[in-house]
Amino acid sequence: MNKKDEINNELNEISPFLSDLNKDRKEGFSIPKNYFDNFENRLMSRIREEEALSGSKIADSVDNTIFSWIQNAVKLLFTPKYAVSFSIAVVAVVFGIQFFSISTSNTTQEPSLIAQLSIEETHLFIVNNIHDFSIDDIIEIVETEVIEDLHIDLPSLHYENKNEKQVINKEKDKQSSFDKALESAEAKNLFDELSDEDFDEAYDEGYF
Amino acid sequence: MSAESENNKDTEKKILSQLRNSQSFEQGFSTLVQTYQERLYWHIRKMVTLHDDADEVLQNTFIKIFKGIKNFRGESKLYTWLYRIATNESLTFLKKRKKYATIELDNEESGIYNTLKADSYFDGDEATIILNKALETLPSKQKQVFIMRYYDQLTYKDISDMLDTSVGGLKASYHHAVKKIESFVKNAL
Repeated sequence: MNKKDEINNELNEISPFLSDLNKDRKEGFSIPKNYFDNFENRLMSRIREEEALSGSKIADSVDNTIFSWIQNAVKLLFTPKYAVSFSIAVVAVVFGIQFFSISTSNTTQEPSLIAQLSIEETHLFIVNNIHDFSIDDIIEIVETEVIEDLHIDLPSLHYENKNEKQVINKEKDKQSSFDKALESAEAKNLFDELSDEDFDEAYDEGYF
Repeated sequence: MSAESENNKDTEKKILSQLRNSQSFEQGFSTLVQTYQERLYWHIRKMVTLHDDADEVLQNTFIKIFKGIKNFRGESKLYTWLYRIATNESLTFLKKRKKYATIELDNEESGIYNTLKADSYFDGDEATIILNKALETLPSKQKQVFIMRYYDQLTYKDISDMLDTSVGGLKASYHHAVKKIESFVKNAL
């Protein structure tokens, strides 16, 4: 007995009435002309649209994350605690570049304007020209100690016990300063956890 | 093994082989769509009734298949796996439709009658409408089993693989469904 006979016999036993009805599942139902000929094209268009959409969403999300990270990092560097060391670092880097430039080109250029600025003026200069600073510039001028301080002070970092901290510290020594800071401090999360109050406090102190 | 079954097996094998190679993946997916679109469409159409709804669910089904086919390990038959996705998508759609239905459509029985009458892709007679109304009175699990057995002529073993339910449970569901539909149709005619 084949599969269809078996199914029909079973139905006939349960309900001879239903067994006599037309079992064509298409009965009464129709479809648009050429529906199945066109279906694949419509499907593939939709799949490509969804892929493009999800691809751009991912790209947007990465862009926003990086932008937000940089924004927060810069704001943090202007909080009272880190502003002085950050400004000194900026001045030192600018001086260094200026000195290198002068010595290699063997010309008699005037020292750059920023090198002559006070710390407060440097803050103002950086705030007004933030778009001229690349992420590499910011990474360059963030001292390891600053990152390590962030570690200890901010709430997103807690170590389960001293041993874990020691292990992490040993690992840190093997890495470059910024990699070390980023990986062990999970800097992105750390900056994300700063509240508006933290920034307001910095504002009240006159750093913005 | 019948010639049809042997042929299906060869088709599945060919499709899977194409899908496992990134260079022939698109060709494999195209063959898969062409091979199964009609069978899956009619399964879905019986579940959701209207053509526009069936079209949407069929697209969703193939999108799920497109995303998940790389994880298909061939532990079950390809068609069983596809059918299962189509069934799940149909049920998800029906749940949503029920949730957002208007007051009129909340009464599935009268709702399906008006819906079928208004559907330009339905031209069935009164008996067909009554049969479809009867289907709407069944709990979703019984409706599923009835469609798979009565219309799609699937074995209990296949249905069991697709719905992850015991053969005994399926037989009981089908028996109940047949009896309820018989009673509904007899009273309505």
